[in-house]
Amino acid sequence: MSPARILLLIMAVYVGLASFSSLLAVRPAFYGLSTILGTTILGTTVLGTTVLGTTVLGTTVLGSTLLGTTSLIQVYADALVTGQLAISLIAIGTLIYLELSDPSYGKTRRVIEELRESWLPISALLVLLFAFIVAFKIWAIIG
Amino acid sequence: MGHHRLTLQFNRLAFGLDSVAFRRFPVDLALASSVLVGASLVSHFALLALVGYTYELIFFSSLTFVTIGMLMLFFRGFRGSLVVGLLYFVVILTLFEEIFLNSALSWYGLALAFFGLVAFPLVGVLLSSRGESVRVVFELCGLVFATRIVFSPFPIHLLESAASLPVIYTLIMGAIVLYAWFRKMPLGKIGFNKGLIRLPFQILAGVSVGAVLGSVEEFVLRPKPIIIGSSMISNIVYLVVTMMVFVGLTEELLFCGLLQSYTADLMPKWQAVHWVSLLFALFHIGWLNPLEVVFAYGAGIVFGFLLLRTGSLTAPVVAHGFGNIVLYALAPVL
Repeated sequence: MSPARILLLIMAVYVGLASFSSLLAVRPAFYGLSTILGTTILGTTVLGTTVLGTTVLGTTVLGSTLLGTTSLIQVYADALVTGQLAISLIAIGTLIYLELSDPSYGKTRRVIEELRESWLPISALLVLLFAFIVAFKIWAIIG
Repeated sequence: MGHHRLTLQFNRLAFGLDSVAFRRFPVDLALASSVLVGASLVSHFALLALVGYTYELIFFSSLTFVTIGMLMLFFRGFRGSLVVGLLYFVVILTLFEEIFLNSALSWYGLALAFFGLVAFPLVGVLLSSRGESVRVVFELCGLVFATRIVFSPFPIHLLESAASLPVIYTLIMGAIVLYAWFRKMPLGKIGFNKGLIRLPFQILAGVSVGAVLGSVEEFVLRPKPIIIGSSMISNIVYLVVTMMVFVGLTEELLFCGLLQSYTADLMPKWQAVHWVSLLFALFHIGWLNPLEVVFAYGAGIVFGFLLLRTGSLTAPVVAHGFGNIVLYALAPVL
């Protein structure tokens, strides 16, 4: 089997299992789960504000007492919104770069051409994430 | 003897190790990692006595861990190079990105992740005259930071659902697959092959190592069990699929298969495993438990060593996945 087909097969398995797992996960339950390469994003360790039974984030965070007045969920929600804006802007920026550095416009420098290739996979990912953002915005408006 | 010869051949082909370097490699790796683990534990408990269980402890413990880890760079008189220096800059950036991401200043963490995502492929292009592996490694560093932003599009209430975990890992795997396909990476180099020993023995090695690692991690973390529904079968199936495929395969492919294999072209082999393990450990800061960071470093060393010994991703993936299964399966029992 060619490498391209093997990679495609892996993705098909992932999509299939992700759909299957989504059916299993009938209710929210991120109990202590290490997610996204080990980091708990919304698990109890971060948002529950306790580690080994001791309050960690409720006291000081990097020297500030921000959490005394603001909940962590709100902090994460704000970060997500700003992150969505950043994804959108960077996706648009890389798309513009890919267009402007197109060799069909004329000869360009080697670095510009190589960077075009290096940023291509990231651009594809950002565009996909951008599509998710748009879909969820529409869903939020309609729903 | 036959297996030893085969292992030597694989390491010579894949990592350029001659027989002397191959014999010295585990010794160097064991020495460097033991020093780092020992020193980090001592400093952690000293800091714990000084500042108590606060966020400052997490920050300073992680900082000490990274500092000692970077001092290992000069182990055996290694002088390093610009590329190696920049790779250690990646470690420092990861430290601050994770520290911020898991604090009330999480936007700063995200901003650093966006910076790494865009900047490191650029660094790779600027240094591409030093070899194809240099460019690939820095592009992969960008990809590692991309894993930190993939959850951003999702509404917060969806992220709280267990269903989001497989979806997010599928997105990460999509990015990895797209990259591997785009760069036409030889699948053998990134660990997709039969390996040097028979498959059942690779699986057995993975299960044995995973059982030990999972038990130790349970002692370190004491996590709450994953419960997604009332049916025990659903819970077990979800746990096995999630940990073995989504967590185990994705993380080992990214860190061991891709990063370690290509970093090994740029620095001494033991140091490639050490560097990747440092990075892997820092991605566990989110547990807000410095001992987990040290544990993850040790686990990363074991996974990297398994890849080198067996020549395939099977053993590291099984060890990682089974270790996580043991971790959460033991949780309700203990």
